[in-house]
Amino acid sequence: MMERPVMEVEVGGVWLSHPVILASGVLNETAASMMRAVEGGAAAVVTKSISLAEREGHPNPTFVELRTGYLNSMGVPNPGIEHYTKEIERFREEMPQVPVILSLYGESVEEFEELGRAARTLPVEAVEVNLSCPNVEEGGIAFGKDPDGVYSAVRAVRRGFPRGVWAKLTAHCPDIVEAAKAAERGGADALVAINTLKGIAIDPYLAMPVLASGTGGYSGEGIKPLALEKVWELASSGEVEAPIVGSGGITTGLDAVEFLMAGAAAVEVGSAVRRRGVGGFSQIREEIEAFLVEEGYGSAGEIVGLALERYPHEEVGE
Amino acid sequence: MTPMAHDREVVRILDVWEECRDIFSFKVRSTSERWRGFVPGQFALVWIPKVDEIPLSPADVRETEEGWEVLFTVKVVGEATATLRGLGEGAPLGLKGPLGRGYSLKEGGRVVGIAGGSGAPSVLSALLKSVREGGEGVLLLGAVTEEELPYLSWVEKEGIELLLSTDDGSRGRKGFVTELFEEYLSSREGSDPEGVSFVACGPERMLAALATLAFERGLDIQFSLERYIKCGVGLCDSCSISGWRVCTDGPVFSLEEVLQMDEFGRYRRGPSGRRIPL
Repeated sequence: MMERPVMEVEVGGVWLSHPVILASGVLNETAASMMRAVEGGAAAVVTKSISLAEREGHPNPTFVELRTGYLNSMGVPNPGIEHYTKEIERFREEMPQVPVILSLYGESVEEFEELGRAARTLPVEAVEVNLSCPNVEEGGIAFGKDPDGVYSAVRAVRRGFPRGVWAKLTAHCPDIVEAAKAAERGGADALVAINTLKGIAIDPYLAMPVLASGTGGYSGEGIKPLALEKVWELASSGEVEAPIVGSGGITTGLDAVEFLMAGAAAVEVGSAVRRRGVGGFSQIREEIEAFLVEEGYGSAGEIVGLALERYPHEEVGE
Repeated sequence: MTPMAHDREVVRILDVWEECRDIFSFKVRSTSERWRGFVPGQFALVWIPKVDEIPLSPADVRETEEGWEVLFTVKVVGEATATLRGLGEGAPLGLKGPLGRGYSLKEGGRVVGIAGGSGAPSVLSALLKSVREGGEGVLLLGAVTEEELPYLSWVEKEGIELLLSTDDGSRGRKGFVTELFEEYLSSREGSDPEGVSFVACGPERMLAALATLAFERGLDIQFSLERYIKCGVGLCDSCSISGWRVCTDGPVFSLEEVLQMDEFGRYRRGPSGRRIPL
């Protein structure tokens, strides 16, 4: 009988019991829901993106279910960092051992700096700089689109926050490797790739976009090949040193394995909750574990970047 | 059947009528087979183009030759509901549903519904199903005053027993609907509770009072809760109550479940997710 594979991984200053993390935007407006995600198997939680001031988000419709995934245009609703602190503290009291990564959303370098300072006194292991929300033009993606924006936002957070800084990148930039290098220069300890992609749904009978804000962020299974390719691009560039957290359409353990093999050290899972329920995190972890056992790997860490090492393909028959 | 491009079906208003002051009903016809599986207490997201999309629990779903007639009853409380009130026959709406978990009803028995304010439609759908399937339906309906009581003109014709209360005593028993319910229970003391389903929907403090009463008397009541609903499929967390998602785990919860919710009857969440005392 084989020994159980080692599932623990370390990413950007955060120790995880296994590589499956709750992604920002799903089940994380409240402490109780984040606890439920952990009970459902998440190794760590990334919070909803939090801004300095309270935001109500966009009017409905804010969500469309498609054959290949989901469109959302929530518009970063959150109670503001002061009120959200209570949710983090509530979570911490109940689950002191589970890492919390606080997602930060700013609309200016000054706001990011202030958020970083505010996060320092909170019981969180790391922060994730949201450089890539496609639903708000003022902040988010405006920073993620070019390396200077990425650098300045990450640097601003880094100045105030002494623990792990993760930079969540967008695929909507000319060169994601350049964006990643800028994040590293700014002081990022880990890179998260990718955020949702800009998308739209039009109702043919009403001849108008379904989402009240017109466009939204596309997530779910349909974006997986693209997200996976971005991770691959980062890991294969040889120019990026920070660990990568893969995100985008991961729904099964084998999806997660693909991301690990492309070079991600861990994965974030969000939309999959729709298909697999809140217990989906455990299922994905078990599926990764079953794969490792079946294929004779000793640990999750062992397969990180494996597909890169095997590419270009060894000649058949060798 | 109109093909659907995404998760919402565009339907047209068939009929609109005034129920009472500030409360109106309207019917739409859906051709989506999803309504075949409708369970009373479930809800739909009703999209009022260019304005908003709001969760509404149908008051009735009826199969006809041309599709499913879905009846909604709405109280005018803000921009979305006021716009909806202004729409006439033939106006298009987006419809997504049915969504969530409905009431679990004992077959062929008696359903007792306790409703206040905008909770009436959810409860009514359970009663209508019961009487149509040969069971009984009793509606205990409360409002501030007589002019705010919907359904008076037609529910009894459907075979539902109607008991009323108003805060000011202008119609029915004077006082809260919870008191009316206690009176109803006393009147039936000694009768077998077997085969009776109790369902309730309305302002949460009313529901909290009912939960206390039910707990003390060992009654099993199901509660339909209301929260700010955005995605409607259990992802965005805006409808969360103590870790339960009203849109997918609910909106109907058992007594045992509501008693575990520390926020039940005490807090709601604003559109930002901020906790607000009730």
